[in-house]
Amino acid sequence: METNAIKLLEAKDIVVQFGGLKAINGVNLFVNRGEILGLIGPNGSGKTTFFNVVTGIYTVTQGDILFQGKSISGKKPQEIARLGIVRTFQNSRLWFDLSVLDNVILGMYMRPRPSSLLTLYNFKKIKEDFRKKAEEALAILSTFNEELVTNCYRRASELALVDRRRVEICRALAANPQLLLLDEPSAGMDPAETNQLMEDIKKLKQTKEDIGIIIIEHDMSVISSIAQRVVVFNFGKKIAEGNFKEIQANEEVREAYLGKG
Amino acid sequence: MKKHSNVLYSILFEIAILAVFIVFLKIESLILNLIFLVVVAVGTYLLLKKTTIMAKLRAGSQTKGAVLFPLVVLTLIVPFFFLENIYIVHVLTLALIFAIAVLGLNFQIGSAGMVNFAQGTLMGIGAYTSALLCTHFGVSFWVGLLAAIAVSAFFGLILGLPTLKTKEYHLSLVTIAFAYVGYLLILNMSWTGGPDGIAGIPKPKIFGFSLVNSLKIGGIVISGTILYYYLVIVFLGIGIILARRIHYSWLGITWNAIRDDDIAAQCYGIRPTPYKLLSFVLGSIFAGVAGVLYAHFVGFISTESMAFSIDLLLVSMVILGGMDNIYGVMIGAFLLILIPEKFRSFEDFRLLFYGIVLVLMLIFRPQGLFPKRVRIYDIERGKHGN
Repeated sequence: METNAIKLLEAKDIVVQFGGLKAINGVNLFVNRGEILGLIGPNGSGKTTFFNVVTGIYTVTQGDILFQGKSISGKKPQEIARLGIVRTFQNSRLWFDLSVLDNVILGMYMRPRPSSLLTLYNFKKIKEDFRKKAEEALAILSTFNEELVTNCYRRASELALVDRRRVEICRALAANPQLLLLDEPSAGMDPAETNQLMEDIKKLKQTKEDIGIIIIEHDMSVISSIAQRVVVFNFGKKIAEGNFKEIQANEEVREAYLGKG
Repeated sequence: MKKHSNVLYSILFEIAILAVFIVFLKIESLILNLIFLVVVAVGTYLLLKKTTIMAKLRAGSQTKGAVLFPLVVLTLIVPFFFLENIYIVHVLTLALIFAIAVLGLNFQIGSAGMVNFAQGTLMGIGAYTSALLCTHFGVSFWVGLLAAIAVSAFFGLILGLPTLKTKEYHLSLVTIAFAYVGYLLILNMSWTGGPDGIAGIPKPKIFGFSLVNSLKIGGIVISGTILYYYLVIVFLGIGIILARRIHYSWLGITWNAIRDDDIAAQCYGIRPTPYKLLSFVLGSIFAGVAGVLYAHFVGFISTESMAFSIDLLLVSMVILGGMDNIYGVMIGAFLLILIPEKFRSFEDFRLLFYGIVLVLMLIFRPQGLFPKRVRIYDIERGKHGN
């Protein structure tokens, strides 16, 4: 049995309905502090919808989502973000006309900022704040990838797909989240790049032990190498849960992926 | 030593730009002017190809004050080249006034990505507020200015409210509706002077000295028109400082985030609503100030000075100059005021000209003449980027 300690995130019987379609149909799910949870399932099984509902982009039709024991369903995205839940997007959603550095600096929006009124009489303080944050942003970028530091004044739109995903993760880390939701971070990467990304995530886990991560992935090698526990979705329902070996052995999971027969 | 020569280069460059500018305004013949413009364009092209000179210019501009100080001095000298044709100074002042309004419009179109077609209307609201107060109640220019700031900020807020519910072209449509409602209300109400407008708006007084008079310092006589030009320069200077500071503060960068992707912005804790409203309110304050300066400069306003063509003109200035580039949008304002003014013989084709400029820009250079730049921070690493 799991411990009675308050879970970092807990979804209780959630249903998300669009018209007649139940994108998520009665899912129970939890993540503990310091845990990496893998979320897998065929296309259209409700994984990204789950992220959207946790981050407040969609609202639950039924059920409840608790973050650190308090309900967050019905809250707006910005309120949920302020509680410490930060995500990346499947089709990376950077601020494309801004530089890499600005993207990561903006990730720190929720940290204390000097009042904008200072623009009128003490602009030096604002400049100093930005300088400090820019240095911190560079530090985040450099732990991930030195090349990003070299390219820190490039616009996000000029980056290759891999680098966009990396910047997205850096931006998420700059927000100092307690729960990080990664939506297919390795999509479109070749195996070497995927391995690098996994190393990066492991490194991140060492520097921030307390952080909880949910990662959506199609690449099973990624899931087997970093996820401590795996949840499988199919047609909006949770069909299996356990460590990677248990999941691999599960009949229903094999059917969902390979079809019957 | 090398540093000094770079600074010298950038000062010479500024003088060259100014000389071109003055000669352009001085030449009266249309044909000669066109030939002159072609020569300048070819010259600029050749200069841009000389990378060594461009590098020196760029290095020179890094030194603090190397660009700003000579620019200010040169701007102050300009009117004295046109003493025999004061009308040119008049047009220059108008261009500066429009530059102020465009700086405000840039908060919405450039920074926050909301195309607002009502900036000319807000300019008109500012102008009418001050004009009515000054002509009917005899208050001073400065009281009128403060009242106009408050009133235009209020109407900016009203205009901004629909942004909570609308986006992109729906939002633009709402601003167009606002522009027409404002125009028709002022046209049809009696206390605004209706179609007759308001005449006899007094020139401002500074410490009791009215800008109607000329100022004599030593042997030099500075006419009222030139004094007003200086007054507008002061307001524009304040506007530039404010706009720059806003651009480099959290407000500016947050507007950019909302413009580029507002869902992502919300997922990082940003509440778009207050930021969008603030961009309308701040932009409207700039419009209000520009309107007041316009009313007291021309001395007469009617609904013609807040017609929809003015709204279009302001949007064209931002698109031509370069969205989210403070200096770009001001250059856009200058080009779109001065070039049509120079080719007055084609006055009837003015709207056609704006239209052609807008279409050509959107097809060939949608980012504008001077595209937005990346913010550079005072940090050790990453300098080799870009």
